[in-house]
Amino acid sequence: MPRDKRLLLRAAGLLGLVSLAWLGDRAGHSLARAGWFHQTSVSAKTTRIESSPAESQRTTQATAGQAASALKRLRAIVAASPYLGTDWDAQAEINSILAKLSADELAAIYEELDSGSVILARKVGLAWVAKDPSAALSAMLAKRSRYHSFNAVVIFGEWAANDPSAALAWLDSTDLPPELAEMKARFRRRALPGLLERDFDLATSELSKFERGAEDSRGLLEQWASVYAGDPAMRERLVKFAKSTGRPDDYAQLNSSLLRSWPQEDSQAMLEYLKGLRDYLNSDAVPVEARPKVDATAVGAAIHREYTGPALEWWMERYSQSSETPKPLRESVSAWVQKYPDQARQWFDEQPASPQRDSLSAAVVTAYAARGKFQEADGMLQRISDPKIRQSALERLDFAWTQRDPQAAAAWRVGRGWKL
Amino acid sequence: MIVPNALMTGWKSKLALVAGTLGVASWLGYRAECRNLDAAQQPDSSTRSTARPVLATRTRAGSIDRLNALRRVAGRWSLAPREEAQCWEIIRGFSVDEVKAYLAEIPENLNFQANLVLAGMLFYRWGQLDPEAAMKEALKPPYAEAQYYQSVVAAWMGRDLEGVMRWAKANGSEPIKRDVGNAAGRLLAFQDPETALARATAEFPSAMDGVLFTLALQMSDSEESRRKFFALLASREDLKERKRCLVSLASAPAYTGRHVPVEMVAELEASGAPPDQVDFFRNELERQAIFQNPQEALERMSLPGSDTPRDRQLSAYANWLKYEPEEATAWAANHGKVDFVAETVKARATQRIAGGWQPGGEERNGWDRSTLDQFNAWRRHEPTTAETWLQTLPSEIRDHFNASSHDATR
Repeated sequence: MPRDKRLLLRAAGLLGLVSLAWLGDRAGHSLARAGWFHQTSVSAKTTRIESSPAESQRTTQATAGQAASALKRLRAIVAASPYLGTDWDAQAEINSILAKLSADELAAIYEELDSGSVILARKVGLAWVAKDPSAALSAMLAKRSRYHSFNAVVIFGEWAANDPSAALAWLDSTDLPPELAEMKARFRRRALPGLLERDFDLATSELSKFERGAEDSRGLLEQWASVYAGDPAMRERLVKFAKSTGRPDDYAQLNSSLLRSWPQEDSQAMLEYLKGLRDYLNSDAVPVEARPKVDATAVGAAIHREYTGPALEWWMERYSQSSETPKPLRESVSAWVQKYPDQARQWFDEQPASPQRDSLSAAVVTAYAARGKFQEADGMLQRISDPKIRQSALERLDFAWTQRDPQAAAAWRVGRGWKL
Repeated sequence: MIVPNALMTGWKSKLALVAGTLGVASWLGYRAECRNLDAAQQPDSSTRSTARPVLATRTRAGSIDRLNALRRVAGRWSLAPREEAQCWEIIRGFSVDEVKAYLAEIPENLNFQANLVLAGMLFYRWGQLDPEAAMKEALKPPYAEAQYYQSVVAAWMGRDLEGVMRWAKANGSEPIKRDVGNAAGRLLAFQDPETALARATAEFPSAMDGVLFTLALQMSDSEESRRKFFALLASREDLKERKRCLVSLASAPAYTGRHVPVEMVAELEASGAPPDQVDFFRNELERQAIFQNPQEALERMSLPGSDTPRDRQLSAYANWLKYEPEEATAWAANHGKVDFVAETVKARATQRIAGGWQPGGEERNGWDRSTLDQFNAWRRHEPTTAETWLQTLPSEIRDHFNASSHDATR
């Protein structure tokens, strides 16, 4: 019995040890999964990426051998990845390799990359720009190919997304190389769209830095308006900002895009907005010389949203004696006539003769002619009484008709007894 | 005294044995899991410890909070590259349950860029853990439209290329077979160029194009390898496939950065290829050259003795103009090609006027701006001809051109 008891005790002890080993093993797994003590390789990589601005101070001399070896590894990763854009492990591996390289090594690698390595070139470029922006962006432009020139703008945008204050401060520095100073507007334009939601004040203050205003910002306000048309709070902030810039065109462009993108299900709010807009336009807030364009843009947008009757009525009250119609309204009226020809004809019939009616009719002649509706265009032409406007519309119709069907156009001219 | 010492020794050694076993086992378990995590391998979910759910719940909540914070910062726009890396750092440690939980957490606005990327990462992670289940979910609404199956394939193919090919062959729709086939073909050729064609034929014929595309790039760099490629081409019966291969070969410079000599056309001819294929290849090389480096291509085409028809030169110029209007216009003006500028202005203006152009104010449309700039360049070099042409336009358009000319000289 004592022998049996000893055996039993030993077996129990052994079992206890095995259980203990199993528990220890599981506890080890749990500790690792919980991230205790151990940083996984990717987290280490990411930490290095985050500290890249500090790394820009690194003075390690690049060697061609190191760059070549890194490039070989990078190319192997790219070649082995079926879809690099969605291959997150491969991308993390690339980030990890790039984070260890100096600016000189990154420069040497970028120089070797071709337009087939889109994602890799952007990653190399981004790592390089964060370390030495002027050298990196100048070198990208110096490659003098469409692809690399575009890449410089895209990579600047990514740098600005990672580190907006550093990128925008660099853009404002006074010692930019001339080829980069020329690109300032494009760089800034690329950096700003996504910044608005992250830092409204920074993004809008950057907007005022475009030297040639709307021409350089290339529709940034319109882009924001279309993105945030369904967000009342952002809408309100954008409108407040656009009114405050001192450039009436900013507000006009914002309105145009905002009203076109306003969600249909929120039409009550849009109606309220339009009323507020009308009151604003009726006030003295917009300088006299800027009013026609600002007003025409708002009316054009209202027509687009099918508030045509009240919008045109308001327009004619103010501008019936003007023979000019700003482009945004001409375009909207042309589209309206195409979409609702009967409604439009009735409206024109009901308008008393005026220089503005003639001017709008001329826009409609052009629109009909562009769609090959030459008889309708001719009908509208007959309603124009101002000889100068009529002659201009006649020339547009004749040009379009002659392009499409020279014989029919000639017969029409003879029939009307016109000589051009 | 001897007995208590022996007892003490026995007690100490047992304690050391217990502590040692616990320590060694914990260390081994810890290292094994670290390796799993580093390789983003599937953790063994069937043997979770009793402590795991508690830890997992805590870490899951923390992870989801961090992901949500990053997602909200980006709002309607893309995550910054750094934020993407941070998101992947979190998601790469997710279990299948965590992947599903966070997919459910992402709001319905899948059209927000950040949400799209995060969902892609989740499907990629799911593809690492349980690719078939991930694929099934990725092909259902609302995910099917955004083609998340590519994320699953990206994860799956790296580990089990044969498995993906088997799945796509048996279950994939035609577009998916083509898409997966291209990616699989590239990998087959990368892994072993010698056996890639045979493997594609036997295992997944949809991979053939991907294999041939990759072989064309790989074999474009020397006369010897190109000769082999042309021989391989001659052995393919499908004429459309041969043409696709020639397109791939012609596009090699764009993908590899290597200069591909125009002598390739003669090499193809010498390989016995029929004349229509040789012509097709010559045109394709030229088309690629125009796209890749229009200036160089134009200069080559317009050399004395070049037999490139003028309309093709003009089309190369028009292509360049689309992307770099200032450079293209300046080049034409400085290389005695003002007629290119003039013809482009005429063609564009006629098209725009006939299309109902409502000119006025500052042109925001890049095409119209570029047309006005070219007109001004033309007028600087050939004032009389440009003016005569301008007089043929409707007065409204004429005034617009004149106003832009005035702006340009301010």
